[in-house]
Amino acid sequence: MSPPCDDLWQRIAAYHIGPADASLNFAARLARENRWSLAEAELVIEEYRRFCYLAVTAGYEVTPSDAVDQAWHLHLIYSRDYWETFCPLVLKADLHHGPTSGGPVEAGRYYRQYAATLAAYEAAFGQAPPVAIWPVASRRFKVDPRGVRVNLSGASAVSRRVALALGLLAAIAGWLTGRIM
Amino acid sequence: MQLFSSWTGSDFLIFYSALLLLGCMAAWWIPSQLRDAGRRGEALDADSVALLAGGRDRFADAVLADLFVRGAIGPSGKDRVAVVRRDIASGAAGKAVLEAGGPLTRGEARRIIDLHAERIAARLRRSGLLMWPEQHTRLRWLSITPFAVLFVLGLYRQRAGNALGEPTGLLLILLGLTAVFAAIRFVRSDPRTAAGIAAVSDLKTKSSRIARAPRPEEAPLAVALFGTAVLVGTPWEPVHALRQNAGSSGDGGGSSDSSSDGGGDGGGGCGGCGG
Repeated sequence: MSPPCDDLWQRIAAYHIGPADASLNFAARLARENRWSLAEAELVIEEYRRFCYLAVTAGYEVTPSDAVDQAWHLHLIYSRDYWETFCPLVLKADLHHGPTSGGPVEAGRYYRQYAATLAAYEAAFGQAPPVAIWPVASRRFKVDPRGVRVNLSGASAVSRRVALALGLLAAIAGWLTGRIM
Repeated sequence: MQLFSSWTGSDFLIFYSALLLLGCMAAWWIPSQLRDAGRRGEALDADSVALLAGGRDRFADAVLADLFVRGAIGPSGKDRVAVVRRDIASGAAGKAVLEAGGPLTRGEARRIIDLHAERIAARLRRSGLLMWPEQHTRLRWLSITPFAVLFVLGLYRQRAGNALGEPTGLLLILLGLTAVFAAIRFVRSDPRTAAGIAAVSDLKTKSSRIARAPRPEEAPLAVALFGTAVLVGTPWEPVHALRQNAGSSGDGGGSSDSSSDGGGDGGGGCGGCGG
């Protein structure tokens, strides 16, 4: 891997988002809100740093993966940190967040930006972005946008495969019980 | 002397099953050892890569993807594409599709460009990336030699068992299985040289990014290397739907959804110009 050597990257790489002494710091909050481990959240934050670098240097609008977008959303909530320190002192540029306004034209535009972002990443960092954080287009634009915020304090979530297996087991158990009784 | 005369039917079935397993392994090992080495040459274009990576079907998909991405063709119903613009510069195969005019199915497009596929295949043979037909035929026969030997052995025992009035139904099933494996191995034999296989493998390794989200100019190569599945989630997904529909009943079984809103966010530095 060959990270860029310029001042911008040095500033971004050294920057710590949010108050360092907080008991629930930026990485821990990002991990909690997305049900990631702390290590996964740290990896996403590293990719978010790279995304910010590309946003300033690519020369065109860039589009993050969903995971990186979650880090960006959370950083925007730390609004003082983002607008008073990160943008003016670290990036030395305003980095605005522009959600899609929907429709096939916008979908096409964001796809092209995502593809260009991956290409810019490869050119700047000397390797393709990690697939776990920068997934294939079908996942990025068909699966990830269907994510919703769920409070799991009074609910449980199981994957469709597990639910199907459980349903199948219940059906077999019911059939066997009927045969035995 | 009668071979296996002291063996019971079940002994021979176990022996034959073990040999069938070994035969399968040998049938896949032999081509890897005896395949023509070929030679690596100059850089390949997307059409050549498509033919090398996925044969004539893939070549047709790559040509259609190239035309679709550049706006020369567009979807027309469930399983057809229609020419939208004829003034797009394209390769010989692309030109042939554009000149054909009317809405085309994937199969029709493939037939139109089959001649071009043959020309590219001939070039790849001269370049040492595809085997010559006689080399390929020889490798095919060598690949199924283990099955042939096994079949003769099994047939001999079946005849002997039959003459003695022994039940040979299970052995006949195994003989049938042997013939099926041989047919699969013969039909699905890879026509590439070792150099051709290595060239595609290297390109795939170098192109992991375009397998995820190709830029417009990279889409034909992405389809050539990885198939139309790389177009799912892109604005060119109808090319994948065309393949899916062609692969189903013939009159179309699914539908493309290029109108999906998708989602996404974007941002640019200061006015999009960066710092």
